[in-house]
Amino acid sequence: MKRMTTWLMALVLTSLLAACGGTYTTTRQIDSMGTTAPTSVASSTLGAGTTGATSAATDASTAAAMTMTSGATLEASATAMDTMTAGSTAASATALETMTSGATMASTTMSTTGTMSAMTSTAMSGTTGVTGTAMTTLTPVADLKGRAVVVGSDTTYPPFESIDKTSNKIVGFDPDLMAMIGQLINIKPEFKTANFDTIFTALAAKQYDAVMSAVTITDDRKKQVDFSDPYVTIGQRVVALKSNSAIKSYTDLKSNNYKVGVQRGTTGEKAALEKAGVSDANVKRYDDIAAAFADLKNNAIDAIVADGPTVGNYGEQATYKDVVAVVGDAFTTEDYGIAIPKGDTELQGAINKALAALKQAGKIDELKNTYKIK
Amino acid sequence: MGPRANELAPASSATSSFTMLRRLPIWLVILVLVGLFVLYSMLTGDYLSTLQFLVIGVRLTVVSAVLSYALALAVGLIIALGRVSRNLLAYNLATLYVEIMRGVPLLVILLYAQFVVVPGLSNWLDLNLHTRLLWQRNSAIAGVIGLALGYAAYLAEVYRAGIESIERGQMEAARSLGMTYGQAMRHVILPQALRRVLPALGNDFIAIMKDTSLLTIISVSELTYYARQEASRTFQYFRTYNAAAFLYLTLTLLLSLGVRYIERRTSGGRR
Repeated sequence: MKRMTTWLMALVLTSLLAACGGTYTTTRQIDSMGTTAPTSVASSTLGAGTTGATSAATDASTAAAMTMTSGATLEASATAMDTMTAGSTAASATALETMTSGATMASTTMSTTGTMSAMTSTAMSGTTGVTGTAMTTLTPVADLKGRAVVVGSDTTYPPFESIDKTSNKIVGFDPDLMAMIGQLINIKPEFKTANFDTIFTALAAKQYDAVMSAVTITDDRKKQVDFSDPYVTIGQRVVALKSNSAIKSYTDLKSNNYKVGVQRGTTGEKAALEKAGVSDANVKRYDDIAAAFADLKNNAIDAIVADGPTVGNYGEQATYKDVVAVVGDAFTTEDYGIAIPKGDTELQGAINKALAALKQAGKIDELKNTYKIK
Repeated sequence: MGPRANELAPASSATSSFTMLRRLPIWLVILVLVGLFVLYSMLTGDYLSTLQFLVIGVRLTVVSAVLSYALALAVGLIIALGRVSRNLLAYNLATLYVEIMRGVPLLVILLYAQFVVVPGLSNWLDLNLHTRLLWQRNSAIAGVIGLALGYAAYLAEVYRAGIESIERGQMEAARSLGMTYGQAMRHVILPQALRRVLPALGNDFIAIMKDTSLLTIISVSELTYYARQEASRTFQYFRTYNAAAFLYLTLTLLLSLGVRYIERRTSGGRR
């Protein structure tokens, strides 16, 4: 009797696991079949704006369909495309993300990296194609002979880098920018998820070839690694519960024994301690900013200090929209740079040239608009 | 009883010095020597400032380990009694608990405690704002609850092993003397069972001391939390984690010496 129960339990559990796996694959298959037609149309429309991508349309259609998981329906992708063709760069975040993941594979044939970072270049060229400027006209500024560059990134930091909900790929401002740089200097960037608090040590130990993770250039970090020229300027901002009207700016944080959540090892931690004057005991350090937001919502902390665009992005997400609010203006000024191991002057120089070219062509500003970074 | 057998044998002077050597805790001597050396090299350089910073975290490490262990001992005993019970409901509830808690990683249990259980409980109990803050603001409470509930499952199995190792005749004899099941358990079975599982219980205390390092994930400011903070601001990983390991080792070695002492005390009556 007892043995039978055990076997029965084993059987039930295994079949449960198998069922989960089965449902997952079938949904994906059905989806990929279902979305083939509209996406192929869409990506060829896109391709028209891009030189050389049209031939990849058929490949892209299947690939794009693959990236859409169970949640993405025909309508969803159609809306995404509509928004795109309407020429609006400020399309809703999800539509854009679907868009980007759809276009990923289209670019695969062009840059042959097969990594997600390559895609956004096409997504961008798609966007720009629609709005009228051609991205691909930029001439390469250096040739690193197709060098593979592993980029470490803490992918919990939208809009700069995050894992897309439907495609499970790394998307955001940083991968997009890196893909554009990659085209200009002939490197194959590949983003890898990393923990932020150990990211510079890992870079110094050559675990990555570069770190692009919304990294502020600081003197402390310069002791460990080298930096490219700045590419974006942001500031630290405070986000608090809507129900707490007492926190109006960063100067209020040090009063009332408020608990302030930060991500470990970030400039937000530093700003909370030094600029906002929060006592060490009241600063709660998290592995990633997502956990801090969860705690803020649960009322376990009173406020969060982090990079402005990121708190803005989290604050707009459905889970937090009604609960939290960004308060006050940015209270620091910080420049993001791409971190490179000490001594890799070849890569550093090439990236700087590419950044300069992209800046001059207005590509970085376009990207900032796309991701709503002020 | 290896050493004892030697004692009884007619001992030449060579064997007796050998016996002496065998009874000496050589591992401890080596450890103390290494420890002193490490301590010396630590206290001279930058290690001092690192250690001074990390020591702040030791308090919460010890407090949360002791609290969660005490809680786990109590909950575990209740579950163990359920596990050996003839009562169908008690047996099944206890088994369900053990199977679930033993099957879920402690880290996941802790994340549950912090992000699901504690906020959920305070909503459900509809606590007033003051209590809610006290309890929700302190992630150490969620940590202690999580650790204790996770370890209760392990401890329950340890208790059960002890209870089941006591010969059936003991219970029968106690019952035939007119004791109830509860009395027999309390006065006859459990005292013997506890003595037998004492090493295993002590082992789990040491394990829980080390597992408090998991609390860093829900930002409880214990030793590992401070170590990571120090490492992320100085980038001195080698030094920082050496210091952290040294502090943990000090704690666990002290504990294991304590466990040995208690074992010797309680096994006195049996020999």
